[in-house]
Amino acid sequence: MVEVKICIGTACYVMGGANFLLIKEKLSDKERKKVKLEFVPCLGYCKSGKGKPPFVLINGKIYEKIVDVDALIEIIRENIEK
Amino acid sequence: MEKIVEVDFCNVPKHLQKISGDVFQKNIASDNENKVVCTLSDGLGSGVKANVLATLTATMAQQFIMNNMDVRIAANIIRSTLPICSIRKISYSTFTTVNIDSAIELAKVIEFDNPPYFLVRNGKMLNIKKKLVKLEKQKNITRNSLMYSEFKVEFGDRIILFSDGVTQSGMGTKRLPLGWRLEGVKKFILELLEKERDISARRLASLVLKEAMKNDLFVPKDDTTCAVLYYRRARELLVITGPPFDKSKDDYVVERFKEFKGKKVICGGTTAHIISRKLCKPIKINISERSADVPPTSTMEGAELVTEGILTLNKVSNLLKSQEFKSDTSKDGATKLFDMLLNNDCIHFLVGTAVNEAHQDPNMPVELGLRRITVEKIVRLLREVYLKKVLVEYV
Repeated sequence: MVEVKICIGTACYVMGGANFLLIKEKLSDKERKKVKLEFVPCLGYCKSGKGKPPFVLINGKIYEKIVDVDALIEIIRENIEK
Repeated sequence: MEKIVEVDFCNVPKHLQKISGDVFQKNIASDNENKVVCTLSDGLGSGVKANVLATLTATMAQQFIMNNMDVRIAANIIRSTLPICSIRKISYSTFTTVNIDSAIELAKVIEFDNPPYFLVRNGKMLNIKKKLVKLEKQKNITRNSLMYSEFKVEFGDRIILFSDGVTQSGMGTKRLPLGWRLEGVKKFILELLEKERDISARRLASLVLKEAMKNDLFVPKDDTTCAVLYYRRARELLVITGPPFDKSKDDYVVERFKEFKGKKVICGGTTAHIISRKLCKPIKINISERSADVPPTSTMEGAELVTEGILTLNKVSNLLKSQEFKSDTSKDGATKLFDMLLNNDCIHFLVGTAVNEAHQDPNMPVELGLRRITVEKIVRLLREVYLKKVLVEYV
């Protein structure tokens, strides 16, 4: 199971995170069964200065500056295949 | 127990008009904070001309009544000041002015040609004795009298004012050939109060207006306004926004959240995270909520509403500034918070002043500026335009 925590805090939301709300609809049924999706009010990474929003935490690893929902799906798929 | 007079109104202009010929004004007397004065005025015709007439009337009435001027003198000055319509050769604007002093629980109402006001007490409509006050005869003015009434207000009383756009709504339609009329409005209000005993002034006014619009098949044939004054126990709301400047104050914020007796709103992801962590209450995001400009709200036990921070506050500030009545039902975090602010009377803001440096990145939208400035704007509007009692505490 791939655990995905998507930050929809202010910085992440304005820098493209708003589109991540559509992710569930973009995943196939098969993929959806392998992914545990969670949206969180703020992951807090923007304050640490380590990277740029939007941030997504996948299986405990932080991914930064994810340009769009397709890029996020790509990362999730890579994690499913691992 | 603190008692207050909640005043609110809803208005829509006549179809195809951009501005309403009905004007509603409300003020608190400068020399007596318990005295609330409000006026609903309906100017002759519609559009800009009617709006000017009604604004002139309402502004004068408000000032005269707040300064305790005799009603006869006030009405005569208003009538002789209004400009004469070049087409109809008359000068005309109706008005109803209500003045409530909650310290002595006394209400005084002056009515000049508007539909009569309703007084609802314990779910029943009361008939108040009204005095006919004769006015000096004036050229171009057909009506030379007004109605004056005075009564003791009781806890839970509602005074409902409306323009003729409400009573005449639906006129000419199959369902209501003679319009909604006073009887129809009365029945609607009493049935509504039976269902929702604690309905706020704002909601009651908006529902009356929605029904009137429905009667007109959403094409209002006249400027339509409903205003409600509701004498009741003050409702308290706590809005916590932003993490404290000093992290050691986190516990204080959580304590305030826990101890507060009224409704509670958390505005900001980090703030919500702090409270959720300290109280071990999980936050669940309502992802089904889609809005173009603000992130979705969340749910947390103990909080009435959990929203994102600065984007939501900016939108709330714009909504408060526009004072527009919106009939759409789509709700996002900002419209929900806007409704909560207007449905409560004493609003406590607990504002954390820690700055999120990521928001100061030049690549970020300028709207993500400082939280304090946005909160100050909201506070000023709530105090000056919506007559709310607002307390602000920075941490």
